[in-house]
Amino acid sequence: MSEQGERLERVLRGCAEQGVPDGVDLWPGIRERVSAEAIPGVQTTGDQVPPRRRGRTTRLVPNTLLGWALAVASVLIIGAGAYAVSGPVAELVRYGLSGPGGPGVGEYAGGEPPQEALSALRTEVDQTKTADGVRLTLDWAYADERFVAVNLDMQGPNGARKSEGSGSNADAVVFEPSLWDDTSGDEAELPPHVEITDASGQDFDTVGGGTGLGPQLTAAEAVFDVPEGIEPGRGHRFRLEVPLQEAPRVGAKVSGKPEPGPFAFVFEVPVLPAPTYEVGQEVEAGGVAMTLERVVDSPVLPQAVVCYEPPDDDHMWLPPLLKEDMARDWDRGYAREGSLNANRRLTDGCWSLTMGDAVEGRTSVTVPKLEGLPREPTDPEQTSVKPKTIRGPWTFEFEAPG
Amino acid sequence: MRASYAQEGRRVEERGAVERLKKGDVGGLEVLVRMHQTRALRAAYLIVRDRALAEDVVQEAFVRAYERIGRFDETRPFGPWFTKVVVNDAIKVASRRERTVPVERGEGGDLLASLPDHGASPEGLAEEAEERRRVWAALERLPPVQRAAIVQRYYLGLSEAEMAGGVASPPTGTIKWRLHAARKRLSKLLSPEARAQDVATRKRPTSFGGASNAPEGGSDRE
Repeated sequence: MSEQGERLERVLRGCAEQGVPDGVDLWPGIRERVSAEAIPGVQTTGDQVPPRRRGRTTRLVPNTLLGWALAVASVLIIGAGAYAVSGPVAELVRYGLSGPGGPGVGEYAGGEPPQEALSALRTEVDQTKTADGVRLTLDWAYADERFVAVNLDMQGPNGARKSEGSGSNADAVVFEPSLWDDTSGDEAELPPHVEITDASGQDFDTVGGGTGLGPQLTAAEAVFDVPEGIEPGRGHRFRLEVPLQEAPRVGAKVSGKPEPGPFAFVFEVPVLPAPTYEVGQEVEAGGVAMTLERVVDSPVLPQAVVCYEPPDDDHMWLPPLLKEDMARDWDRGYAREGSLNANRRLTDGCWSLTMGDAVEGRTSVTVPKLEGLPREPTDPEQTSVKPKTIRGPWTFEFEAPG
Repeated sequence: MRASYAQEGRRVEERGAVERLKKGDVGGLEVLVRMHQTRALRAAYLIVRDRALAEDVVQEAFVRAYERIGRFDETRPFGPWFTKVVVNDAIKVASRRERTVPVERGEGGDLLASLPDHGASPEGLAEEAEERRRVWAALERLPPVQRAAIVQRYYLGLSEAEMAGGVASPPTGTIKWRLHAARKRLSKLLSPEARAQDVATRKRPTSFGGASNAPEGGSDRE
């Protein structure tokens, strides 16, 4: 490490030691937590450690890429720890969930990811509704021709843990916005869930987002697909309805307490252009022909639509995500700032993937590999069908108009 | 280089603790907590910039380790895996509680070339305290992922390969980019020009060493 690096190390150490002096002891709080989790009278062994209830996003119907990944991740990944550090599972995790950084993997990417533009392009709404002691705030909204995104913060009465350091109110009833993937199946079968509508009456599907039970507040982000498009260039009025549902927490019982709300917000946001460019470029690699059908030039959620014939019927063949930094959000349902995505499988079997880079000028899209996950059962240890990987890359280059 | 006896002993102790925990002995978890809590908490603190939040992050990470220990491969070291979990969780928490602060982008000079070497004199110590305050304030203006990259590289002493390896970690290219971007931004934020501007426009006191949750100029966004 360079001398300057060593100086930075020393400064950081000083900051850390000043903020966290020696003598810290988290064990009493942790012991309390794990005691609350243990089932009385049952000898807990390593393999019988009670599983943690999954976050809301992990209960999504697996039709989107997010949903598939979550479904698989819930089996393969959550709790896998270092088990998954090596071997094909790790490969799957790293590429299937984290995903490469889009074009130019392994090199410095030029410019900021398009979603960093979100802070400039979103509209601060800052509407707060209160019911039964719960304050729900619609922080901001974003809309373009193809996507609408919203961010919600919720506080009280027990909607978040107190930031008391080593303690947490484990018995509290915690609610969260009811986010469900409604892109497939009978929507009527779903519980009341977050929905957005407008005067056109088109059916906006929830294609991305998640909830996060933070220490101080509960937050949620949701991305809605706009199936018929919205005319850009002017303000557009939406109505967002947000039912809550009880969020099971570690050490907390499901109370069955009635949910506060639902909460309704009416707001108007400008609609940005998000033109679609037909590309129709085919590339063959690893014996698989893949076509980049089109690109949706959304300023915040640029999409590459790729199609390919599944190499076999024993596996679900998934393209890895093109945008980084999403997997780590799913595990606990955090909707991390700037992590919006709208990855999904389309009805024609193609995949719409959120790109890590903006569509601008000479644009490149690379799908590095296809991951084949055994169809059933989902636990690879219980099936003779093993996960497979077909390495590409499939790289498409095209000139974006304008 | 071979590990020292102390390191080997620690490794054996850690492995034993994992095995105990796998057998349902919570005492194993206590050993792991005592071994790793301080370093993990400090790393989390540097990222989330709030002591209580950092404690929550680390506590939650230990609880998750407890829940998942049955599938943990005890032949692998617990510490690096656990530290990554903590860093990733800290990034999530920091990202949720912070809104991106637009920062002017521009070319920076060499990494932290503006950090002079202070001697041990009273003046030097005062300057070092001021330097700490500046670095702390500059870190606040980095996006959490970049802040975490700096913490992993310079506080935890991880190599780029170590930062990239493992579950749910970004590929090496992403790590390189993050470090590159973080160094560049940090360098700019610590430049003499930024320092002058910082003094002129600082919105709130950054009473480094104070008694609040964010004594070094951090902000608590509820």
